[in-house]
Amino acid sequence: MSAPLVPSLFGACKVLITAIIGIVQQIIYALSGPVPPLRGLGDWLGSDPVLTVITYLIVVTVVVLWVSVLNLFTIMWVERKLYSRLQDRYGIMISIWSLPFWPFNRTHRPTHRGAGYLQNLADGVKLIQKENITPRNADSAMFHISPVLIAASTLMVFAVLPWSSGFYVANLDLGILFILAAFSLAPLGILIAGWAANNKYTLVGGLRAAAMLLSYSIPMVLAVIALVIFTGSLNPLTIVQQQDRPLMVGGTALPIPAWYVFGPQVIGFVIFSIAMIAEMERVPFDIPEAEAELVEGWTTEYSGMRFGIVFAFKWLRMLAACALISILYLGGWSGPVFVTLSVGGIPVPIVPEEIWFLLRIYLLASFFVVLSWSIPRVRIDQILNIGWKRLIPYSLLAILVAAGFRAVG
Amino acid sequence: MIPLAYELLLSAALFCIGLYGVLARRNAIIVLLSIEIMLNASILNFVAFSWGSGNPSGQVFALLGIAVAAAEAAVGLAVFLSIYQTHGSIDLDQIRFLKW
Amino acid sequence: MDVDWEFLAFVVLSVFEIAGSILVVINKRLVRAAFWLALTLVTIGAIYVLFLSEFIFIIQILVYAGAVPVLVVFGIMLTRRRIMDEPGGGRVVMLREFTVVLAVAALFGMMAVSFLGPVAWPQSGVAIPVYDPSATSPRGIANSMFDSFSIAVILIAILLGSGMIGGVYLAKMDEPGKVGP
Repeated sequence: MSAPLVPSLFGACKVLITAIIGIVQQIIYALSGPVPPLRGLGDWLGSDPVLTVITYLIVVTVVVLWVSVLNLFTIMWVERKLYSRLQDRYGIMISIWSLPFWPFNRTHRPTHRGAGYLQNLADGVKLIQKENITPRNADSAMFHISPVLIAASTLMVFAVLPWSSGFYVANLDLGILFILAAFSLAPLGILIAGWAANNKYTLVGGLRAAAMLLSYSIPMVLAVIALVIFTGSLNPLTIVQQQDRPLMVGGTALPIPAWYVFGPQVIGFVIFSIAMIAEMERVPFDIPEAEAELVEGWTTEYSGMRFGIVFAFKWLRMLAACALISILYLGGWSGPVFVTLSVGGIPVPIVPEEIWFLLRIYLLASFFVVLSWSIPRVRIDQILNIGWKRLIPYSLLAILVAAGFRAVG
Repeated sequence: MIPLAYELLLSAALFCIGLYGVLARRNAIIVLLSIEIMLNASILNFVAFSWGSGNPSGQVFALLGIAVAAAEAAVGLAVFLSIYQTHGSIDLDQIRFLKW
Repeated sequence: MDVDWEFLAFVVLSVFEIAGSILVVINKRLVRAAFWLALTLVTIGAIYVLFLSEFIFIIQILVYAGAVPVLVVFGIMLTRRRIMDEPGGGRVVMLREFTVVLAVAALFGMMAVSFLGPVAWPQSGVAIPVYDPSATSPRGIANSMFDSFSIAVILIAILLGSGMIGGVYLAKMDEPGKVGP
């Protein structure tokens, strides 16, 4: 019913790398006429282990670039443009027409009235050329290492997260559990960042952030447990495959797909989404970074590209959270293939699985953005109140309901 | 394939380093961290022997051991907090209450 | 080159672990000790992966890299007077450290001699699945846990619950200087 555009990322990259290494090998063999030891180098380059290692490196690079360049820019653009339009203003407007060289520097077209897609690139360049300041009495080793911790724990998520049934780096049988463990590595980085800057505001922000993130990890894991009672597997590919069928209610097949949100898991869906809003540190759970109260929260003392890293990885965590919600509850990348063109012998499905997945991610992201910019911020004791006293009992109720449905049939 | 003897050496070394931390440091938090290292050394042994003999009981005990260690760290920190509140420091050389 | 990559990975990880644990126990600054503890425990988890137990690795990351160091750093912050206050007091006489190093080295020497002696350790291992739907061996972790060790699981649940309640009660300070509410 749904078909991927890239049936196997590893296979596609292997074909590409074999072709490129073949060309390099021919060059080396041609050069090994006058220089005989180069023939051994050519043989070694073409051998299978070397090809596999280079293919894995290229696969990782492709996925990291896809995630951190394409999807990061798009999701940042979606958020900044959407909340600006909600506030009845134009929003970010630096686009490709702002570049100062030909053919983009048309004099009759205003430079700052574009769609705004390249504004984030401009902000990144601005942050790179700013000075990296370290506070004087800060613990400089911990201060410098905590953005690395936050970045590493977020990129671990993208090593396991599949973008369609063929576009992944690694397919773990315990993939969802690994993603949840990587999400729970972040509080340590944030706490150490808040402490190491020797600043009252960052310390308060870091403590509040760690308390909030830890206490919302519990209903997150409990909601996934309630889901796993239904799926029986923690593999994201299996979970999406199980949702690719029509919904069966009492033996009759309805024309809607069997997404887990259309069943008794809707409690789990609501709890998981609220826990994910807290994990993403978005308003209404924005108190670690409350701009009116704590200057900039735990990121106050970071300047230059360190701030850029911390800021950008907040959006990458939002991307990972939306991807996780859509895999678990909204059917992942399943969707009908309307037409299959054949380009040079390769079947290209129109509306492949990747497009359905990206559509779901950006719709969820837009919903979270509208939610964030519409409701006020919740106080820290109210946040912990909601987490411990409301979400955990409801998630236990979700587990009971799931177990009951599974026992009945 | 990792020869099991090397893994046992690693676990023994970790245990001894943790033991040094428990015996020779005055600060209560470092003692707690060293106890965590000792517990992890023994849990490493459980997992290695479970791999070597194919018996899943080793991994079950590893899970239960991890749970016990985490609970013990939490309760230990609560005890140190209350000691700090009543006595003003957590220097273990000064907390010698059981005197005659 | 016929390099045994698993053994090389094991050697590299053990070097990281021993270095990390030594840095934990001799560190004067508490937050750095907590950070090195997180690093040591994550490398122990990586060794679990080398022993084909991915489930224990993920649980180790969840508990020991995501929860226990945060707990320890909270405890550090609640037991000091100012932010960057370090527990001072350096003594010149290092008699205690020296004796403990000797004792610990003797213990390690005894254990090493007995481990490297003529004991027939098992040479190869099998990967144990998390859940095995069939009833024949090899059984999975979940089968063994909930069939044979279910009482242990319930006792651990009671232990964790009472630990949480007891910890909250002990650390609750309604008046300064008085333990408990």
